[in-house]
Amino acid sequence: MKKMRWTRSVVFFVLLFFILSYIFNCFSYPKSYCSYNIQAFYEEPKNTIDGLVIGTSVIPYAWQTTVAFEEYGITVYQVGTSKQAFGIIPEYLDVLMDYQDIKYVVIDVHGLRKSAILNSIDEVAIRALYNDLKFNTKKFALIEASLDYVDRVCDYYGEPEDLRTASRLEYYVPLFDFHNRWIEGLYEDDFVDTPNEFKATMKDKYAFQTYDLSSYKSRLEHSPNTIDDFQKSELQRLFNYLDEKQLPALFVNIPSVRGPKEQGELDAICDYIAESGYDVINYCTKEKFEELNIDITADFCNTGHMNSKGGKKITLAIGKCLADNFEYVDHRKDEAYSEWFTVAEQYNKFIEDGWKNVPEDYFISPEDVYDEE
Amino acid sequence: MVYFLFPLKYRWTVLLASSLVFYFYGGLGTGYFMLFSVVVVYVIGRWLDTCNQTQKQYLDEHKDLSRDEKKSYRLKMQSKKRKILALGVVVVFSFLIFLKFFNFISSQVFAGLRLCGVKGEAPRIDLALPLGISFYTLQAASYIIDVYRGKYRAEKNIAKMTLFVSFFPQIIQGPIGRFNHLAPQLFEGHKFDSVRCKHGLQLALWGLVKKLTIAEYVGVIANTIFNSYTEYTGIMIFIGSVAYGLQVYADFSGGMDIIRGVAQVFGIDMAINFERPYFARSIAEFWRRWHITLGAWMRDYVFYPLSLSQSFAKLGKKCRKVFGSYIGKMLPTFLASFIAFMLVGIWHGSSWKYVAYGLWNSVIITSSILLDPVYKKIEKKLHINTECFSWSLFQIIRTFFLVSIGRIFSRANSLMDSLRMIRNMFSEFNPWVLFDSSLDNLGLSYREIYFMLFMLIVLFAVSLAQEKGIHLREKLEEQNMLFQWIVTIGAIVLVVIYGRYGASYSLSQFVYQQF
Repeated sequence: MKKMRWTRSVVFFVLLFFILSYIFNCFSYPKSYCSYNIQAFYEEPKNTIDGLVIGTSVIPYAWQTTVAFEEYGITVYQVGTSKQAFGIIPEYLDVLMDYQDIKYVVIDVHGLRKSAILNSIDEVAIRALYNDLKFNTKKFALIEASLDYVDRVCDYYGEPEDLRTASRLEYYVPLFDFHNRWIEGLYEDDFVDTPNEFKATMKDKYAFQTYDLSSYKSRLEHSPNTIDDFQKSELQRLFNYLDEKQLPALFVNIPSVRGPKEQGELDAICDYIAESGYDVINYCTKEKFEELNIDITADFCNTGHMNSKGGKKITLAIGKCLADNFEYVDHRKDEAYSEWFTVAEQYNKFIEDGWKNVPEDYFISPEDVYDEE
Repeated sequence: MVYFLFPLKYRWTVLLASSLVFYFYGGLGTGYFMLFSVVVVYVIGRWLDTCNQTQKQYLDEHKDLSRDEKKSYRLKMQSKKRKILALGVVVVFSFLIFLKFFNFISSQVFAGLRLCGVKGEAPRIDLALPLGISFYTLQAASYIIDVYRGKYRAEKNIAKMTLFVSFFPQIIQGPIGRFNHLAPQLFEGHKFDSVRCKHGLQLALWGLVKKLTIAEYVGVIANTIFNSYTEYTGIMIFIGSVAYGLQVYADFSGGMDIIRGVAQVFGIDMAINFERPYFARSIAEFWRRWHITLGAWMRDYVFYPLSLSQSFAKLGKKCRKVFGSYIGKMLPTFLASFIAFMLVGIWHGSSWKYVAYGLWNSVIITSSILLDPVYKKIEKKLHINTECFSWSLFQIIRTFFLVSIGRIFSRANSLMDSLRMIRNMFSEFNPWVLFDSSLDNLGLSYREIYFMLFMLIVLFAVSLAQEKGIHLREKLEEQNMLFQWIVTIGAIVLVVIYGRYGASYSLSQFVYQQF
């Protein structure tokens, strides 16, 4: 009888655990537009991904996984998130590398601009980074690292401390913060994961939006700028991590039209990386625009992000560099990757159809554009 | 877990350690007051016990003494014990009075002096009130009074005495336990009992449901109305007082369920503090159902000692000559209950509003006793059937109405605010507020209001079942396992999703914690 009671108790608590886990999942941070990429990442079989492209929202707009596969046979996923905090890239990679044996990583430097650093220490941005990650012990380290990063930024730049003083528990257990979402209502994607069928390649309307940036030509000028000690120390922290893990990295500056001062700051970041002995390509220069045939009247959906036309160009450029200079395996010859061709075909058709049927309002006038500045 | 891993004999030490950690975690600086109170009641208790034993031994050894000699000896010892008891009671209560009432008394005295032209600032002490002082002081005082009365022997082990005073589940808001009921349970080791543990956790879960899904919701409405009462009149004020009444009930009784449930896990059956008070048919009955342990304390240590005292008996005799036999006979009772309820009011806090709260209850109770013959005559003349449901319902609603008005005194920010609120409540009859958009602006969305109403219906249904003598946990135990699990998991999910806690809400502390 006693044994029976114990068994029942154990079954009860196991059942309770699963129900609560499900609830925890539904009531986590509302799905962000970057949720699909991490969900798609988890869908891939273990150790089938060669590399990762990491960074702020410029990455989901620019990187096209199937294009890189079709052209070079490499399997490189993008795991960018909006306002992604640069200072926690090591811990983020640790979590992701638990699922895939990553051979190299591409890191965009936009998150290291001072304005991006200050934008990144916001609760929504921090949660968007890890709330979609599956439970694992390294996820806790990532949360801790995010909150430490907030402290570091606040210490250096003296920003408001509201995030610093918030209860840390609420970051570890999102339910503490978000169980009240029942008041506004929950929707299907709160209950069901919706991974992206194009292997984390953006498929929403921004892929087909075009913003003619010719009136912003002056923003492509670069005025000399420097980076501060904080930016240097965060880069050094990342270098130490890459060295320790012996993880090859390519730093990139994805094209954007941000203005001379910020372009100068991005140049200074790229210069510092190069001086430190790491591979870096600054794609946001006149020369690179010419080399890659980047058209500022057709390849951007706003000043900060590229559309699918521009994305394809930059994907091909980075992909070539990866294929030429990093550990290279052509998966196109491997039967196990045949599914990738199907997906690539579907994606190509999606893009082709999309550009054929672009609604009028997808061509945006300057005053309607979302401008990160 | 740790409790059940310890040898039976020493399990009480785990409770003691947990209580001290809990207490000192709550406020290290003020924790010493509690420890000092323990030392005082321990020493006084032992001293009184020694007197009791000396008296007993002396009388046993001197059986040949005459009746007068025995009486004289008893009186001498009584006098000595009374002095010791007075010393103990004064010291124990002096902390409470000093820390809780000093600023109030000082400000009132200086306000009076200012009227007489004396200038100066009232002295203040800025010391946080020790956690649970109002509760453990009464508990400690009851112990020394009972030892004085010879009800039980004093505790010899000061560590055990500390546990009795500081037992962690009850320290914040009671119940006010009695030594002879609580101490043996605390000190005796309890074996793990899965059924008892399950019942305890179910009770605690029900407490959480009441606190987080009822009290915190109705509390929003109460706070909205009480914090800006000048914007409301008539029925809205009444809604505010009813909301506060429901809040304080769900909050306090929910807290009690959590406390009793947790204690039950350890095998400790703590005193019941609530018995569906809103089903009471009179204020007197309400106080027998509401905060029962405080009412019982006042009854045993204030009301009976006063009403049965020689001075009150003498007063009764004198009044019989002046006001007639009925009033003369009842006067000691009136006076004693008046004092007891005034003390109940003042116990809640140092403010005139609590004095008014006590006065309100005292006046209602004494006038109901006083006018009882008149009511009976009216009922007889009007041929009112007092044995039917409708009459009971009328009495319940009447009591609820009177209690709700009294709540305004205890919840309003000041006595003047409470008086203004009562005036505003009767200044306008505005039933349209129930149907226009007035209820939209009470701090809850419609979804939340519907949920709150649903939970109030659940609370009412559970209370009604309990009132009818149905033991819900035992009933649940009789059901199929699947049903039991659905109910339990449903309650957990209810708290997890719908409970008002976390960053999005400012979860208030327990209402009675502040007292």
